[in-house]
Amino acid sequence: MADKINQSECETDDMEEIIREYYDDIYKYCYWKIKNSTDAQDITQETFLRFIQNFVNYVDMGKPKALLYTIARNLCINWKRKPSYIPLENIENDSSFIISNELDTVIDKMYLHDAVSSLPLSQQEVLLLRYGQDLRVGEIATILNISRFTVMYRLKCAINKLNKMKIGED
Amino acid sequence: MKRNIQKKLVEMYQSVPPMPDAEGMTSIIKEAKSIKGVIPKESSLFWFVKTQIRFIDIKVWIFQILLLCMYALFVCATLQNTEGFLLLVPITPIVVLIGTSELSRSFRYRMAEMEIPTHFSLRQVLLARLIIIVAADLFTLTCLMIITALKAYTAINALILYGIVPCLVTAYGCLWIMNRCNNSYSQYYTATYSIALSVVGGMSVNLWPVWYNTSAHGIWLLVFCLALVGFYSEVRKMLNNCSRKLECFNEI
Repeated sequence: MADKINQSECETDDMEEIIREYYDDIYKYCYWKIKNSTDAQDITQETFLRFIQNFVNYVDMGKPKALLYTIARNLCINWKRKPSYIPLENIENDSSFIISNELDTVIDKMYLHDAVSSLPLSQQEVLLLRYGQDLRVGEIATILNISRFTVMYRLKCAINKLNKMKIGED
Repeated sequence: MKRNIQKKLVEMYQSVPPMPDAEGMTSIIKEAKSIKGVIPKESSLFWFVKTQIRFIDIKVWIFQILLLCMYALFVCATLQNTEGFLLLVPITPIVVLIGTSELSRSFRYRMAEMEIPTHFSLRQVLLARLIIIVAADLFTLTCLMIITALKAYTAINALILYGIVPCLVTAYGCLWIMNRCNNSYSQYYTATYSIALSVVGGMSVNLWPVWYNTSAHGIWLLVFCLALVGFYSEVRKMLNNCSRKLECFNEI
């Protein structure tokens, strides 16, 4: 589906298509920002609710993908600012999720997760958007409101740091 | 090695637990369907400008109408000779000042409340407001000139010149101040500048009548051209200043 929303696309059917296409991606993004599946889904719901409201009042303009990620990102930031928010240090406390995976893979992922968590937040953000959401550099630059050069620089720094931690070794 | 890291990162980010509520997406789609028929079809810049009109402070329209009424009353009651058209010169900076205060507010506070929920940039919001204010000023100015022309038998080209030039000089000066002094004092500076121009304009009618001779029209035209170029460059500068997005989008 094309990124650009034009006048003819301002129909509910198109909105449904957008929701179906991006719902899972936004949920995954929120999950990696919040590290809690219940809260992540709440934020995903809120993201799409706000998107629908904005869609009604302010049509045209743009890129639903970038707009959705920007709304989700801001909601995650607000969520973290809440006094009740307690950051989870481990990859996932959901036991059913861990049991369903092979033990080696889980350990490997936890080690990788720790390594990624040790990176600066700005680098974690670009890694999540690039490899978690498969967004292009230009799209990441739009969402984070930084230049493409900065995105590439942060990605390179992050990969180099992970490389030094010997993450890529089998 | 690098490819291996990238592959591992993709795998890690893909492994998320399933959503606790499988009906989440369905409920959002239902919500979207419930608003069917409410979505406006128009989406042009013209539509945006139209919607922006209601965000302009009501005081701006009230002051413009009051000024117009007072001027009409004053002209009808007191204008006795053809020199009366010179009243137009001190009144036009005040017309610009009324609109400038609104523009200054949008520029100073960077219109965060508008940019966050919409997807329009500050540049577009400011451009829309500029269009509305310039249109309103031009309308008021035209009314002022028509009122004056009805009462004073003056050449129409001179009337246009004496109306447009002070207006343009004021607008240029106000934008110049706003571009260089983007703080809470800018409104006072623009007000001082506009009132000073108005006073000088009013005084010049009696003190320097030579300014309004037909032979001085060349100078007025030159000032008009210079002010027009200055106004254009200041508008461009203001819009360029607004190109950057809100800082809060970049916070983490």
